[in-house]
Amino acid sequence: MRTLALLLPFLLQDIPDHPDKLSYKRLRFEVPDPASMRVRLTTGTVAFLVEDAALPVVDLQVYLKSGSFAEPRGKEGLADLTASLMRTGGTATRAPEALDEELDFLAANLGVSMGDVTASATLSVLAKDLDRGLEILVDVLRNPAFRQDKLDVLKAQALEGLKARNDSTASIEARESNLLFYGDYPLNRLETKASVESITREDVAAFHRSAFHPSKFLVAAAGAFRKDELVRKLEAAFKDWPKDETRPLEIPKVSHAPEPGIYCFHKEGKNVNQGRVTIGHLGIDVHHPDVQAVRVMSYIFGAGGFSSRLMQKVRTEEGLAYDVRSDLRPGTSYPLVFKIQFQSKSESCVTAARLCLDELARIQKEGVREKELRDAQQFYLDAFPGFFFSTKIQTASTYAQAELLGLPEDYYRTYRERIAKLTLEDIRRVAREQLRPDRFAWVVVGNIPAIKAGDPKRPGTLADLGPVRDVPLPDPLTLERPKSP
Amino acid sequence: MRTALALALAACAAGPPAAAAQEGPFKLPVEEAVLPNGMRILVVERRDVPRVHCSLWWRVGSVHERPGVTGLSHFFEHMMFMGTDVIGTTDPKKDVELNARIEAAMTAIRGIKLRRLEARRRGAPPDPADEKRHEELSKEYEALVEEQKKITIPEHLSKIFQAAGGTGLNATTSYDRTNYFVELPANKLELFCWLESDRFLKPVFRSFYPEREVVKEERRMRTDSTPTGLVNEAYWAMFWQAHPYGWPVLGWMSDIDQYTLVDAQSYFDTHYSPENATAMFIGDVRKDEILDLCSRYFGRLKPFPRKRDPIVTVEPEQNAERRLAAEVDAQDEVNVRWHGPSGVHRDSPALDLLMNVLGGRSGRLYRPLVEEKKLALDVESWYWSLRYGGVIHLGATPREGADPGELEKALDAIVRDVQENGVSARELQKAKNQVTADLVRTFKTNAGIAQQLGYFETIGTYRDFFDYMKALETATGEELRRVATQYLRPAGKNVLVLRRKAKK
Repeated sequence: MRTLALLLPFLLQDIPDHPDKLSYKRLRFEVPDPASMRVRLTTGTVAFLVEDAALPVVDLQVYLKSGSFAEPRGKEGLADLTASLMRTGGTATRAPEALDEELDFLAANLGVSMGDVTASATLSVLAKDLDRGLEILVDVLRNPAFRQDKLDVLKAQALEGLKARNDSTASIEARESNLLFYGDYPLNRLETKASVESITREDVAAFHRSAFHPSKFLVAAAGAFRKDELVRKLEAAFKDWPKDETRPLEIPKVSHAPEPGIYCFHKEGKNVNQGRVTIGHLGIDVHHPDVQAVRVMSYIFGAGGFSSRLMQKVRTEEGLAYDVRSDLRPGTSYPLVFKIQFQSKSESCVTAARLCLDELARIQKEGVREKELRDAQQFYLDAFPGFFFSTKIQTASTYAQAELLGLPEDYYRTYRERIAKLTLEDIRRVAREQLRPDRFAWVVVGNIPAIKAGDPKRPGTLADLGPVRDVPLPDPLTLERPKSP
Repeated sequence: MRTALALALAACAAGPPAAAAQEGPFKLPVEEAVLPNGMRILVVERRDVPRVHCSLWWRVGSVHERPGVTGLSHFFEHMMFMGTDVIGTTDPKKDVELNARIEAAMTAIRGIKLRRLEARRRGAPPDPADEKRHEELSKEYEALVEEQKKITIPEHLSKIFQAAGGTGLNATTSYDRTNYFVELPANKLELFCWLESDRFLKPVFRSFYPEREVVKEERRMRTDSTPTGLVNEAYWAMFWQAHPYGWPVLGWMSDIDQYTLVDAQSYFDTHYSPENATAMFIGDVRKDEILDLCSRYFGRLKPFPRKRDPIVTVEPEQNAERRLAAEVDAQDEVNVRWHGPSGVHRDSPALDLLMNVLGGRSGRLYRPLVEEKKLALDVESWYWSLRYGGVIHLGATPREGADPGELEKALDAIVRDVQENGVSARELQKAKNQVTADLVRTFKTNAGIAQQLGYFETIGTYRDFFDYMKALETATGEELRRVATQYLRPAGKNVLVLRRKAKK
């Protein structure tokens, strides 16, 4: 018997019998004013700076538009190599070893990284070492030496990384989804053994010149500094650079649409007892007028964590998956894929998929209940500060990235209003307009024969859900696929 | 997520958790209180945004399990999201009745499963009568579950938290502790106290058996179906010869398949006594207000009359090297691990510093192994200290064509050099700078502070920070040399060599 049941009545005073009976003080949160932190330097650089003396640390982030989208054909892998070599290859006046030694002694973290359409350099340094840290950061951004021996190490690492391409069902799923949904698009400029091997120091130097210049930087910084002093330091750091040779990043429209159907990728191995499934089609970008309606609809449908319908149905009620979700986030530079994703033991993938599709049909047909909408809206309204403004550096970085990506000027100021005014009809409408089961393409990875067969105790096989195609895995180094069996 | 392994691995990847500083470069104003029932409360007031990171840390983890119920701590953590007689059901009375009937059916099924195990032990086929009975019972069970669904509010607790603006709602289980956490708007602290005290006051383990299937899926996702999951599990089990750390936090599949409601109830009744918990509130919170709420709500939890048994098993000193070699769908690796002490041991700061001297781009391992001898593509070093012991880890990824044996010898030579010649004053200072600064950085977010305080509340109390920080500051090169010699012994090596499986 549990002893906890022995409650003394007086302790129950003031405790309502249901949490719905609790009442709360009103909470106000004013969206931080970006103008109060925005500075335009004489070099053209825009910076968002926030003083924060809570810790003796300064965080400084430099954002720019570059990334794998800017790689020339045949040089796939160049963006990553450039970023890594900037960090590890020394500068004109600092040997790589000396640079690492000094950063480590200062306990400073310096990193350079490239995404698909944005790149960043980040510095985290103790406030007392800010001048030294900033000097090294700027040296790395401006005068990287790209030492050959360091490039060789990075290329060897990259080639080793390529071999791992088909190792896990998760990495196969991610890669094949992009290939399927975007086709011949810059997102799919994937490195091969040949492309990595062909990359020279000169390629790296040219890529660096074409991307990095202070006039194109957006800076976010927060920490124990004085704003006017940091402005002066940044002015000094960014003046007198060589002339701007950067090229604007082109982000083409996506013109590809996969033929609907179920694309299966078999992964060998008797330990592979779980299938990974992605079902989707291209979605919207952040400038679409329905972006908030889609956000809330997706939250209710499958993006809202444990509260979402997919989670309740597939995981909590049926026990068929640990993780099941929809992801209908808008793209900021190009449309992302609207997708449903789950992992389930091989024999129950068909059943789980069917349940997901049933839920999709239900939200399209019936929309959502008023309480679901209210709860989802309340979630976004109340959690809003934590999404974008939970720390000073996150606040600065939110605004720097918004400006870099060209988000509407009032995007954050009106974020909550645009959530609050949504109606049941909005949700039902976007569920119908934006979710298009007729366009669904599937990526299924795992033990394909077992997944196809389905659960002997439940109706249906994979073929009942659409035309099934087997696609052989490509060679991890060349990305060439053997002829289909 | 309700994760187990992710946390363990993340902790490994990030290196050892470190402590908060009360002296030194900055102050972290921690307020502490203890309720009459023994429950500890920590409060850190920070006013960045009107939000508060709220968490409950229970000193309950897989170390408290026994063979046969491995993974139960983690499974129990999942159960704590199923509700109470108020949360999660529209008809508590019927719910109790259905739960009892479900349990009866599953107890009968368990009997069949045990007979199946017995037949398997003898190499005999299962009894056909049993198999037929199993089918009937399964149908009966499924019908009952369907009936229970009609009165169940799935994810009720999550829905209430999220509709209140709660983010990051989750829980994780590790070897020594289970933590439940959510970040809430500053005006919703009473909601936290209501829901959290309610679920630890009178949990109802509904949807027990469907959730067992969820946990199996979690195990398939994290361990079985990944390229190195099963091998890492075997490596971990080889490392701990006697200590209950040796089984996986997620549990063995055969055990997950056998848990019963009785197991879960008895686990709760043994471990979830309030003196085993610390509640933490980090963010826009006022100490007096939250302490008042805590005593009203968490004061309802009564300490259990019988204290749980202490963990008495001590890992015996390892006197022979152990090795594991595996072919996997993953890149080659050489890993060497030694046993280290608890995170509150006085040698712990020196070991953190030692691992810092060895690791990093300017550390002892990188240049000789990656650049000069060209044996490795990358190296890593960390010391992960738990409550009852720690793991000292050196790892390297061999370069294509490099011999893993030679790489291991080179690692050994670097360790020997530190043992014989110690470290330089600059190396020592650099390590102190880095360990301290990394620690300061974890205090940038409310969640980071909770993580650090929670770590120390798990292995000791948050006050152990101070000793840790003092020892960090005063550690000498001689101490680093001593701990290197004492802990990184040749006979204490646990080696894992991974080779990429040849293509067929």
